[in-house]
Amino acid sequence: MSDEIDYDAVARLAAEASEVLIPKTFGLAGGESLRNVVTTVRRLYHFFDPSYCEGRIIVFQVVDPKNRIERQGSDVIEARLQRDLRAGAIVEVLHNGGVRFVADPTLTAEALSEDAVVYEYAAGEERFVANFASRRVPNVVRGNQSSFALPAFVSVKDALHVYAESFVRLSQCRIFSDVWYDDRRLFLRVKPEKTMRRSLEQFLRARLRAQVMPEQNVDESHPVDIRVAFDLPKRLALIEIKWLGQSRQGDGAMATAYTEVRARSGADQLAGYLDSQHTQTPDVALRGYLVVIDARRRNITETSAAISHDDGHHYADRKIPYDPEYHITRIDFEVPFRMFAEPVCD
Amino acid sequence: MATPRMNPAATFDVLAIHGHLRRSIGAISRSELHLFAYLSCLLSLYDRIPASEWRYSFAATQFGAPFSSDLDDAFRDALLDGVISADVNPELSQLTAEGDEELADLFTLLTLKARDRYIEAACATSLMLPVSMAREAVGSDSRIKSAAALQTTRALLTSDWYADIHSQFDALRSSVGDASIDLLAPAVVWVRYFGERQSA
Repeated sequence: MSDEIDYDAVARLAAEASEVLIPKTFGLAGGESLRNVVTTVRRLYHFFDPSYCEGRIIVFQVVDPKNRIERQGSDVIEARLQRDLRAGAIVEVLHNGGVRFVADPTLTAEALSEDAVVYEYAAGEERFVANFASRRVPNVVRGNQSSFALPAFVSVKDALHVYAESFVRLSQCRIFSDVWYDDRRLFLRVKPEKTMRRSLEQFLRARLRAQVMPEQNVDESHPVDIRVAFDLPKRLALIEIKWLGQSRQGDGAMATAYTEVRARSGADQLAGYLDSQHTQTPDVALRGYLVVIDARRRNITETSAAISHDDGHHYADRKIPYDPEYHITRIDFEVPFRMFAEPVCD
Repeated sequence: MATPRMNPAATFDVLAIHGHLRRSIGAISRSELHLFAYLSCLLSLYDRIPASEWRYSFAATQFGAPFSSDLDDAFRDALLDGVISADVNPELSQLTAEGDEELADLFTLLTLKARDRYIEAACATSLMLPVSMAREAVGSDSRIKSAAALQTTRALLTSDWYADIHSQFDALRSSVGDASIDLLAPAVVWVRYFGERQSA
């Protein structure tokens, strides 16, 4: 089977790419300036989340040092970036590796771009400018303010914590938001597990420094939801997803409802997957992760269209008792992750 | 004192990849080492260098990723020699001060230094795009996908593989230009095209 390529699609990507524009404009030295500018942007965003910026952030490097203009400004101090970047700033990257603020708010990305590779961030949009030509930075990871402020996780546990808080709790993930039957997030659509799996899989693929594979069979008939392979792979993580709550058909009829019993059966299922996988790959270290998306609401009926804070959050911090407690009795079973998905309350 | 290497090119690549990725992602995992070595090899083909001159080969593993046993041997040797060391996170490794010195010495050998053009550009994709997208792009190769689906290992750099890669690179050259420009350009366009197609 051949891996065919769509010439038109490649041409479109090339036409949009700052990595193509900049060397064509400034030669190989422009490419080096692009690397220096991006390295600096990534460094700045290590200390400052650009989503908090109320102005515009410009980072530039003059490609040929002979064209550099000495401007008034001050050194960048990383410990002060939270304060110094909030209102926006212009940052120059020097060829000696230094980085400094330029204190001239009248400068624009276009004006600087005559001799420089210029990066600009404003209101969630990023672009590069070279000799007055501009290229938008593609937003390749959904839900991220900047392509250069992407945290990558080595640990599944760390990634799941961020997923729970940033994507599930308020349903901020575009894919995950499709699991709901109603705008108030009281009821789930029927069979929401496929959407939940896709949401978590996309998140882990983008953020985890490992091979993420969806729906992998651990034996001839049983697929685990997500499998993660680390390090070629000395370690494997199996992730099983279960949901709790009340689902509804498209026509409004009440459908499946799952209680915490479902979480316990998921734990049994995952323990079985781990046993099968151990048999298949005895030399690989395994870890099982049970993810329980908890969408339970108290006192809802077929006619409910709103919910009080008390009823909506009744299950928010409610622990699920497991029996057996695989996370205590087995060394390959992580403490189950219950991720509470909040409703919109009155 | 470093022990003699079985494959000097692989040894150089281990050190150079650790060195270049320090700029973007810091310490790296073993799978990232193999991923960026493979991308570097692809860029040398884009530059019309015969694959035999890469001086080691790759296979597709059952985990949907490229792997080179020569590179892996060099990685283990580098750890034993102390030119790379485990990071605070033991899954990751980084260059040591001795590694920096050894890399600088190896740069004096022109045959090895020539490889750095490809390694640097491959690693620089991690400045512009998430590493996960490079992983997706490489994993989109039909031979790598089938190795994962069949839970087996398949040789890469075979004749049908060359035919596919060269056809992909013809399309890239017609849009991006030839390799005399910065190789980061074709690298990023290739990674975006196949990475986005794979995750679509």
